[in-house]
Amino acid sequence: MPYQLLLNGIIAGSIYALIALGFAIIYRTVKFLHLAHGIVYTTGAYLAYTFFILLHIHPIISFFLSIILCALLGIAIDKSVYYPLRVKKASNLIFLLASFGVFIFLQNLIQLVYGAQILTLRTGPVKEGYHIFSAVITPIQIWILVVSCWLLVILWGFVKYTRLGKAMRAVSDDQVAASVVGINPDKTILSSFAIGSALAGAAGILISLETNIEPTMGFSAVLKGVIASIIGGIGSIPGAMLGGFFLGIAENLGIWKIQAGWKDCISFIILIIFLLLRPGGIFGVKTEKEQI
Amino acid sequence: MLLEVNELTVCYGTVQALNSVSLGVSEGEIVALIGPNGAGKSTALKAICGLLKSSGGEIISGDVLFSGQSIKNIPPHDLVKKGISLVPEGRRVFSSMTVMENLEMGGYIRKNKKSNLESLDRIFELFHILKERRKQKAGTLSSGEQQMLSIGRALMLQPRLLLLDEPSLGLSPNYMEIVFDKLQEINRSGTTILLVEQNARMALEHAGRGYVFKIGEIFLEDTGKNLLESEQIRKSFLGE
Repeated sequence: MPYQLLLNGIIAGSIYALIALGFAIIYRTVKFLHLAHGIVYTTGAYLAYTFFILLHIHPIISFFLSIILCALLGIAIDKSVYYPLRVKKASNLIFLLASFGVFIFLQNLIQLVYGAQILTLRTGPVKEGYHIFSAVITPIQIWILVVSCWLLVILWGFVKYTRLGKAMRAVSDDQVAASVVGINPDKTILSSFAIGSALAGAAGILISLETNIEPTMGFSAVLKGVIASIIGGIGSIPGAMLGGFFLGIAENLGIWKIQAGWKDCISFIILIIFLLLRPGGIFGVKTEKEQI
Repeated sequence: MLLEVNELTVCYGTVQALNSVSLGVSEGEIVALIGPNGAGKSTALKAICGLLKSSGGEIISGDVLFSGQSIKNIPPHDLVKKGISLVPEGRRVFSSMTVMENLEMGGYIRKNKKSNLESLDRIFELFHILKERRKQKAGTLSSGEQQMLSIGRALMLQPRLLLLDEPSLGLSPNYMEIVFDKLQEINRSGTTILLVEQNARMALEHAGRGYVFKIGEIFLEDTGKNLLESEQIRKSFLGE
């Protein structure tokens, strides 16, 4: 058994799970593909770079500052772009295009400010890793795993047990019924953008501890997030988590037998298989009524 | 008057759905709005409960007063705070949440958890089946049980005025009878009820008063009993 590949898969999976979870939380309340989620992820990485490398702020403070700003970015995107479209009752296709527009605009803005070259958050030499079975895990990777798993658990509990979490589920089930019991749908949608975007930001920061960052990093990330979400059952919270890990592990175990260049291809093959054979995902979410 | 609708005119785009409709509901009454499909009874209810905008309608003129205050164009999520709860058409329970969570959501705006528990006791007393099924997902209930849940959810805040949109829609005759009997029971304990109903006979048998809608206007208003006996109504709505 290639333990190293499995371990890499779990680490990549935890990042995918974070992106997918944030995406799912937003998708549940608004029911359209928020592709700009990917640029929030990129922004998270660049903010962490700004605070930690450029401004020399303590890493933990940098982490939280970046996450908060990502949440605010999510709110700003909804308020300035999606909300006016919602008022005009735009179709989902319009939302998708608008989302794509936001993505491209912000990606270019980042490129304008930071340049197109790759940057890194790494300050010293890579520390030697610990050995588990025949695999090696670095301290940074342990951090990534711990923080992402911790966030996943917190979020799951939040949605299941808190008042706001329940309101978010209610809005996702039936917006009219939610407003009838006194839940303000617009406020709930804003909260879901804040929380979902914070998760995307966290994923972006965590990945930048491990790899270099560049302005275009968000696109493949959001695609993986969407794929993970579809595999798990679109809009399902546990589905998004499971789908993320599944995707990460499948991708990394895949290159055991296939050339590494095919890694991205594996996710799309899995996506196509799921769409053909089990469009509702692992958790069998019914999708007839919803259109993308 | 607890609820007053004054000369309300409503349009969907260029199509006029209500033409200067006036009606009133006094404290303690059960009032039914009946009439054929597209006559405007549902539009009237939507205009009262603030759901008009989301269905693309607009109040052109007139006013809606609740205990003297205008509630025209107040969004539904603010209306519940004033003591008006709605049981929407098609029940609209939160299907992925449990019965208990659905009822909790009914008391969402209330900070005082103790009053929620009191409401819950009353609702379970009224609908025993909800207590038995409290851990079940609402989506797995029968349509009759879902209707009870939807009514229970609306009762969580102990509203002064309960609005119901087509409560008998999709129910078996047996459940229709149960639901309407329960509505009378709810009414006796002090809640004023205004309902829109396709099933004119069922509505008039249980309501104190009724308004009959025809092409965007009210063309008859009387007690439920008189309307049931009226020649015109029997011919046009009761199919006799």
